[in-house]
Amino acid sequence: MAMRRIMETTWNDNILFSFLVELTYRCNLDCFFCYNNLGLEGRPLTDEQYFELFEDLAHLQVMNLTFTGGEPLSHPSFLKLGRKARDLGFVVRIKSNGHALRGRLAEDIRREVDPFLIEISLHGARAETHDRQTRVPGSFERLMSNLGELKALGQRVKLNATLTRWNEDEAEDMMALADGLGMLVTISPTVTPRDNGDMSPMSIAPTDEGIKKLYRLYDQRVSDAEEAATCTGTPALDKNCGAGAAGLAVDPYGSVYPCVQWRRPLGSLHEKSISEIWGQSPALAEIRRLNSAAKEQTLALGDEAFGMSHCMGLSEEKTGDPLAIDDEARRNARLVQEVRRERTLLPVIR
Amino acid sequence: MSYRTPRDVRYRIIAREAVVLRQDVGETLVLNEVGARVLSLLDLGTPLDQVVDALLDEFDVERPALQTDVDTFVQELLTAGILEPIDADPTVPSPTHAGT
Repeated sequence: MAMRRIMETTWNDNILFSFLVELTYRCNLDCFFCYNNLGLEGRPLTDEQYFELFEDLAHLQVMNLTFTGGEPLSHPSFLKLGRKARDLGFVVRIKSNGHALRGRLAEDIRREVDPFLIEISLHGARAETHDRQTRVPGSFERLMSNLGELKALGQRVKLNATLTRWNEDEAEDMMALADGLGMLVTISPTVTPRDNGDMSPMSIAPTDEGIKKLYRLYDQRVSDAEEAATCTGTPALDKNCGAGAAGLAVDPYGSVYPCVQWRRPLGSLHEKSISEIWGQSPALAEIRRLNSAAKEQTLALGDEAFGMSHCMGLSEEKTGDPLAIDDEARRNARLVQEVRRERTLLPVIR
Repeated sequence: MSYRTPRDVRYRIIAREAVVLRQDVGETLVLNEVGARVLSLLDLGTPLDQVVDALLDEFDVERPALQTDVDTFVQELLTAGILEPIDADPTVPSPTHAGT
């Protein structure tokens, strides 16, 4: 409960707690639904600028520092930057496709960067499904081998999957695969457009039935006791999410955003420090206002909002209005509610 | 006696409280304002007796009671793996916790 209270404080009082660094858009895989704007150009941040950023963030008492990409390991200074983050006392997280996480590099990361968690993308439970997404033959087989190495190193790993039309029949098998490895897995039902507005990834968005199957699986895995523990009262949050309130993100060229999904620029690290942006950006003040307005809007919806995850970044990208609840959010809420109704119609047998 | 946080411990001061993570076991706990101050001072290399001196300046409390409370608290942090004596393994540097 104490940790929940702290999280509420960071959101409500705008205390920067988590920071996400998109180190590079380079990648050794070629995922069909990659959301990065690969055509984005700019002057990459230098190692010295990253060091300055990390020192400022440590001074601001930011706890979580996440490296992502692209593939963050493909940044030439990844180990150097990771070591710096570790030395400054951050809880380091890495989001990776896992393709290079093997051998010497995996050992060096474990020893020198010492990440609390590595989140690795999984695109299916079978090689043909995973490789269809990555467009790199053999990537699934290599990932399975690398996951075994990471486990042997004692590295905490979580698997992240996005449900798609291609893998929606494998959700249960992906969970079983993670269970077999002793790793956590999260399967998100939301496919997002690319950051440049390209909607082509949406062509493999999952079907309604695929999403409902996923929710039923989650239902089976969450015990009544766990559900009760997580549903004991609405957290006293005055915002819709942590974007711009407890978290920020930066792209490889120094542009700072409220979060990885909400690509509204707040300032450039080539021109201002993160402390200046955090404390003085008028754009950030507007983000926080919108975030509170979105929360009020959701509360006003009452039961209709059950299961609704309103992403203001996605809404702004799709509709131009961050407060507009887009069709995807409404659809997901409808499907959650349908699965919930199925469950409550069944007798409870103990 | 001086102490520091072990290599797997991360902490930050959030709204005057300390959020502490023991990475190896994945445990998080929150220390109140006084506890956060003790942890910060110790992790900066401040000897225990000087920590007590600093707290006497900051809080309205009698030395004997404070000394007892701090000793007990430090023992609890040691037991919980959040602190270690500074000579436990001098070859392993502790991470820096800036701004505390």
